[in-house]
Amino acid sequence: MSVATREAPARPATRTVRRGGLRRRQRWFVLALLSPGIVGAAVFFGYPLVTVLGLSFSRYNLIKPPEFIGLSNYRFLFSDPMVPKAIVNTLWFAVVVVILQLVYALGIAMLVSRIRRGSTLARAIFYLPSMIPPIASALAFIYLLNPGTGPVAAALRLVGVDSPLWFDDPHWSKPALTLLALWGTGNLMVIFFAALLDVPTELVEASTMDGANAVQRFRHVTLPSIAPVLQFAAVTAVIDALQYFAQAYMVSNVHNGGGAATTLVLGYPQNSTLFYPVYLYVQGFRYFNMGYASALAILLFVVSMIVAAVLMRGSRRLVHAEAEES
Amino acid sequence: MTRRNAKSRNGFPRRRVAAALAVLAVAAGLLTGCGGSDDADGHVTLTMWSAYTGRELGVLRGVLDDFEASHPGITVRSIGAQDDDKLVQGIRSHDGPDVEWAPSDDFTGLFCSSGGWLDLSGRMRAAGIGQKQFVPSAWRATTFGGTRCALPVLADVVGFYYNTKLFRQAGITHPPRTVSELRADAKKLTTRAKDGSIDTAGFVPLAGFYSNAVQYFQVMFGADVFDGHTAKLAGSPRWHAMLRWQRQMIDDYGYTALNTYNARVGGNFTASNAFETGRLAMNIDGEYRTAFVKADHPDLPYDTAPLPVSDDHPERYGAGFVTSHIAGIPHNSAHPDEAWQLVRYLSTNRHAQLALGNGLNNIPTLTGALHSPHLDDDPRFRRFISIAENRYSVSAPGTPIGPAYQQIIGTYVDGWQSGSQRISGLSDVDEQINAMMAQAAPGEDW
Amino acid sequence: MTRRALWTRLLGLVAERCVLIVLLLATLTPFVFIVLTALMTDQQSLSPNLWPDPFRPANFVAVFHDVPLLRYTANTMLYAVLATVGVLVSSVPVAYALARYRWRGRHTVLLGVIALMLLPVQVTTVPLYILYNHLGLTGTLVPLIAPKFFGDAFSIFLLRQFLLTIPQDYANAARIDGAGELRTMLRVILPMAKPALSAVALFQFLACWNDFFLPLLYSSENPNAWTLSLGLSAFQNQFSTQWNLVMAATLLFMVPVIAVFFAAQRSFVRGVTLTGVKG
Repeated sequence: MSVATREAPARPATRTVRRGGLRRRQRWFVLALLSPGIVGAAVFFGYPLVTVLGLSFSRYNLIKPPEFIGLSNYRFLFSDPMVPKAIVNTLWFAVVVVILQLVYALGIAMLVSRIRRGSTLARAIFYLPSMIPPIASALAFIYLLNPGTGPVAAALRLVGVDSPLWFDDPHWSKPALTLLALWGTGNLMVIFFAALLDVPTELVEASTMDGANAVQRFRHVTLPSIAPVLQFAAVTAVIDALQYFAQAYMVSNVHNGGGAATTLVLGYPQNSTLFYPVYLYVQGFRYFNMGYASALAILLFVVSMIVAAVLMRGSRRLVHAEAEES
Repeated sequence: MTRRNAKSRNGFPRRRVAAALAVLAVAAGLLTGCGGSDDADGHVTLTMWSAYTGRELGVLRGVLDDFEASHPGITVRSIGAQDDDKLVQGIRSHDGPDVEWAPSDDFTGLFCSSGGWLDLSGRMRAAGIGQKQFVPSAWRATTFGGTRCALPVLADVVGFYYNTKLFRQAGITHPPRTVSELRADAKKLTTRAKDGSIDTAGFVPLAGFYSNAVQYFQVMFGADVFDGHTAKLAGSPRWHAMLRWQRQMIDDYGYTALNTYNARVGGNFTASNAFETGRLAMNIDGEYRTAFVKADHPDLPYDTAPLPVSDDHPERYGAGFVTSHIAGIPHNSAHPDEAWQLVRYLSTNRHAQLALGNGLNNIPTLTGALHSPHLDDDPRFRRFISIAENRYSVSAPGTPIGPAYQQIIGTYVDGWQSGSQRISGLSDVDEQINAMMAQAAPGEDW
Repeated sequence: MTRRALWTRLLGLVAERCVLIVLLLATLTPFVFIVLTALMTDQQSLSPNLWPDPFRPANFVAVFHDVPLLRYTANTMLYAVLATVGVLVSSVPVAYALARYRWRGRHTVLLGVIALMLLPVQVTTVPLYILYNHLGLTGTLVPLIAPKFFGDAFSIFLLRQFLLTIPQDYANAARIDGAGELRTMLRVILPMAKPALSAVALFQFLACWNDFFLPLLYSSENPNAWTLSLGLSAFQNQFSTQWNLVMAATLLFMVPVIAVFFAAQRSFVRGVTLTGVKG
């Protein structure tokens, strides 16, 4: 393919206009390209967002027709003792676990970036758990942490310590989920690894020659260089935390050993695993209080948009980047 | 022609993309529409959902085969393993089942008040089906707020199981009749391993263990949830007595030791069940356990008895908890008439009731079958019939929110068991239950 | 460097390596136990013994026997493959429009894409469920697959970022040679975007294979439409404490993912890198 140079024979003036927007043919093309996306956004986001707002002002159980009840759902939302519990649980995840994940992933990435042989294998091993279906890994951890028969309990017994009850104990269920989350942070580790490789080596060398120690190097050279990636990772991790569902569902589902119940108690034990998305599911798809679930959804929407806006601050580069011109 | 493997925009050969889209169309067509259907000659296929699996599902299948034989033109597709969530979902789907079998009457309130199940009173009147044919508590369990949307099909009765050999070895001559006796016996029957963990448990007082439910403890103490239509646990002396008794028994063992034991035992409905394998001396369980024991551990030395009761009301000994299974027709069924045939058959046909009762070792709700000599005559099973008919036996109260109030109580009891809740927390429970009922169905008359 | 400084450096290095090895082992251990347990007998899986004796590979056969695993796999494959095709077909054009042309409003649209990327899925599920319910589509895979043919925010974003890196020279040259817009896109630019395209395809496939929430919501009422994730959940419900069977089923669910990973490792890692680094 030949690349046109500025010495190419002159073409009619209308052909090379790039300033001032698109030509008509291009305009139609762009519209055509955007069309599936526009339809998709309207049908699968616009329509539901409008509808969920309307539903939040009504009572609807999918059998009888919806009934307008004004702000009643919101009034209940502010007095429902489950809501603060759900919010606290989710916040805990969105803040504590995300921070732990970022630190852990960055730490491993740094360790791996310093070895030469075997770094591909190490990366592969760390990445593997993050690809596994979340309910499979949740089940695996339920088994591993079983206080009676699990290997972790056996190991703890070897050193003379009683195993905590993990998923049966409201104080240990979230730490157990944290362990599960940390086990699966391989995807963050991989992007940190790539970002670390991109840290300009001249800067690192210059700072060492200036007498900076490891901590100072990290703070003043490495960190600023990987900051955009950190920010991106933080945002995605937080948004994942706001949608956290599958693992919480599985973990509530398992009453180790006993449990003849055909009715799931989501949030077991004692609502310690009742995350906000789980509670929304319970209200909307177990009790079929669709109006109330819609109110919960509106709250989730508002919170996630605020969080996204706050965390994405300063990413204007992202939005305004353009393809390079020659 | 150089265009043979023309690539589409994303790099895949164009033909493959077209093929894939064709598959989508076909698959979408195949995957919609899996409910009941009609053949051209009027043959109807009903879909029935239940929670049964394995052996029990097989017993149900046998009864359904008999139904098909006596009702030519109707075929029944039986789908098991449908838990409560799915039953609730099923009444809202367009391809939902034609008949649902719910394993508890907790849902009567929910299904009748929401209109999820069809009101059957008209059909019952036309068929001459009425109260006299059924066990009283089962009949009560199928009405709610003036609507009768289900028929009772079977009853589960909860009583007390104990291992006679372990009793003999410990020198205990009769099953405990009061909770104090229960506590003393449990201490005698528990053995520990060298590391202090529980090897054989006398009795497990945790509400989440196996079939233990707060409702059964309630029966032992005569404690109710509702006073009229309001939840009133706080200040109830019977609730206080029950909770204190539970605390004492848990402290006897140690909460962590109990939970570790719980995490170690075999599944409730498997052959490794702790009671069936002799690792649990006394247990609260339903009458269906006799069938499981017969199938998996026929040599187990055990006997049954009514639940122990609180010391201050010994006259209540003999009472138990009755849960009625109910069958109804989701409101969006395409074949309500044929579905009614099936529901009616399961509920009022003596042969079917006996087959279900004997196959599942459940209590038939049809009195004609209940008193039939063909019903399993094992005295350990028959004891449950007298428990069912005892005047102090209770069933779950119907509410417009179904069993949701039980979860609120269950969460509180979980906290109580682990020591993180106090008696004063009962007033929060009341508040929550009442608020939930007000929010879901304000002012509804029930 | 002094002797002492050398020693500290060496010790530091050794410590680092040790920590890394411990973490690697800790990461691998769960897999090891899953495999071991999947090969145990019933009683053994409840005992504290850690090594299966005897080995019971029959567990895997039992899993196939107890649940319609093939049907669940077929459903999951159908979902994953069709959704991946749909995402590619619908997201690539949008990303192309956003990256390669200048038009008024493109920044707003991009902000919209980013906002949708960050929107929790539970926000829109209630109305969508009601809609599908009225259309009679609950209990099928259609609610899962259909939206994928109308663009996926994350894929659009990823592709846009990558497409930005292709210099305009190529398109200009093609235009000068007389190629139309469509041709330029299909013949010139997109073939250069293969790494990003394969990354998007891999991610989408994986996301669908692992998806639990949406199948739970939309297909749970019809066991014929269950995916593997629902099947595993129901399996665990039924066989609760037979951990050997449950772990065997879990392993069967995980193995295809692991196989794909090892086959396409480079693509994966490159793809994950693409998501973060260019941001």
